[in-house]
Amino acid sequence: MINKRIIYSLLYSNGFFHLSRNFRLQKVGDINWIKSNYGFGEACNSIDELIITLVTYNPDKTEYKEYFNNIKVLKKNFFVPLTLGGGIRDFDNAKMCFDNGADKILINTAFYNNNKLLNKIADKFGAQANTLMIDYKEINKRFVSFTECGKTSAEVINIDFIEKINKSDVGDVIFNSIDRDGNAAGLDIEAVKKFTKNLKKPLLIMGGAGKPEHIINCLNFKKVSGVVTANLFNFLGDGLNKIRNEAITNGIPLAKFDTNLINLNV
Amino acid sequence: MKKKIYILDCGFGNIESVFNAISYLGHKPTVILDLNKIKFASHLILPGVGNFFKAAEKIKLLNIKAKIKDFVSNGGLVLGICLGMQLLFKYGEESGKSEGLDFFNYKCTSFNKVKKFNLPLPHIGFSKVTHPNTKIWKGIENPSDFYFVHSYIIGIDMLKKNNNPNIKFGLTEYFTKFISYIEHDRVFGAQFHPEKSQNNGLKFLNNFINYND
Repeated sequence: MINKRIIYSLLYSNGFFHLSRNFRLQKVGDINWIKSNYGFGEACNSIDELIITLVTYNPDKTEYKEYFNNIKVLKKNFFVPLTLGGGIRDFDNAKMCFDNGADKILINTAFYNNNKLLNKIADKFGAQANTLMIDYKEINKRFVSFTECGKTSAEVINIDFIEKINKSDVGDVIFNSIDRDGNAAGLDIEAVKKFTKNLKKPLLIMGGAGKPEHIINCLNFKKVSGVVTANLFNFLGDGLNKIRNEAITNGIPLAKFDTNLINLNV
Repeated sequence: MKKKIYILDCGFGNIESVFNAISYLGHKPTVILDLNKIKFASHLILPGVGNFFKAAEKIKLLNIKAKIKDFVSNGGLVLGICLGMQLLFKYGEESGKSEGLDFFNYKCTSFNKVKKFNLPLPHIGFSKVTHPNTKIWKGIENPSDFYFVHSYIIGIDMLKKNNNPNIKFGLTEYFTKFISYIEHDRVFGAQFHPEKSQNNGLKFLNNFINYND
């Protein structure tokens, strides 16, 4: 049995962690807030992977530096796979993420305009190190991918588009619905089912996870490898632990974590 | 015995998470770029995500093979993680045939070569390891979930060809069974990432560190 994954994504920008709704950001708290109010270490005991996304549009060097400073503090106390990224346009950006503890990096815009970068990263770190994030929206009954933090439309998602993904040097592929982002009304399973029929990469779905049953329904779809949620309220307290246990009770194959024996005090 | 844990940074893997895990367990690991000072170490960790061929080139360049063998025969403990485990074998087939450290007389090969159907690769995520219940597995349920990221494996065929009963194996299934753990003497290899495997992984690393206690 192949285990599925529940992945949490923290959204970071300009010194704060955020909630996002249709790609509009709302400040929640800084790193001290996360550390004191968040039960961060415990919450990480219930997830398969953590993504910390830099959601600043066109981040400059100072912004990257602050982002990595925050990560440095957080990651001393969690031992799950970490994906970093946001605004990665060249090999130096990518390498900085790996140097700061990333196992994988998020690729979005570069997928459309810089395949050489993906090849170069795959060459150095393995293709699994590139996690492709496809932000998409439904426009006139067609699904269209977006770049630049959801600002610029890129390509219609069709068979050729999926084939292009299959041929590229990427591991996981996250389909993130901009329409559902932060609305907690359920994941966009039906649409993703349709357009990922020919996808040969591990498929992750993001956008809209609000209740345990949303995540469970989504994970029940055979092709889905995992669900990504950035809903801070899922992450608060033992929310994710409850979701995880409920999913396991419902027969979803998920890794079982030993949560009690080594206390992760952040 | 005072533990001196060295982590080899050959530039082919993410060493920071290994470093953080060992630090979390209360030790001060040293990151080294070559094995020139290996005689001061009690434990050596070879981490790594990356390409076998490139790592093999580096091994040759730094003359690592002879130095590690020396280290082990003088009582040192070695743990290879992911690519670090694969490198413990005789040769790899990733990006062309290349020589490994040859602690184990077998090869590292592609998942797809072992079983020719369309596997979603790489194999990413937590999978169950059925382990040999040796000392390094103390206090860890059998089987237990550990985190994997890889496209290359040590095939199960090794079990048929191996005639050394002192080599112990752990197995994992991802469409096909493969060898996810190996140990012999003071050499340990984990295809999974203990440093990314929550408390199961921390226990595993802790047992490795305290192996001689």
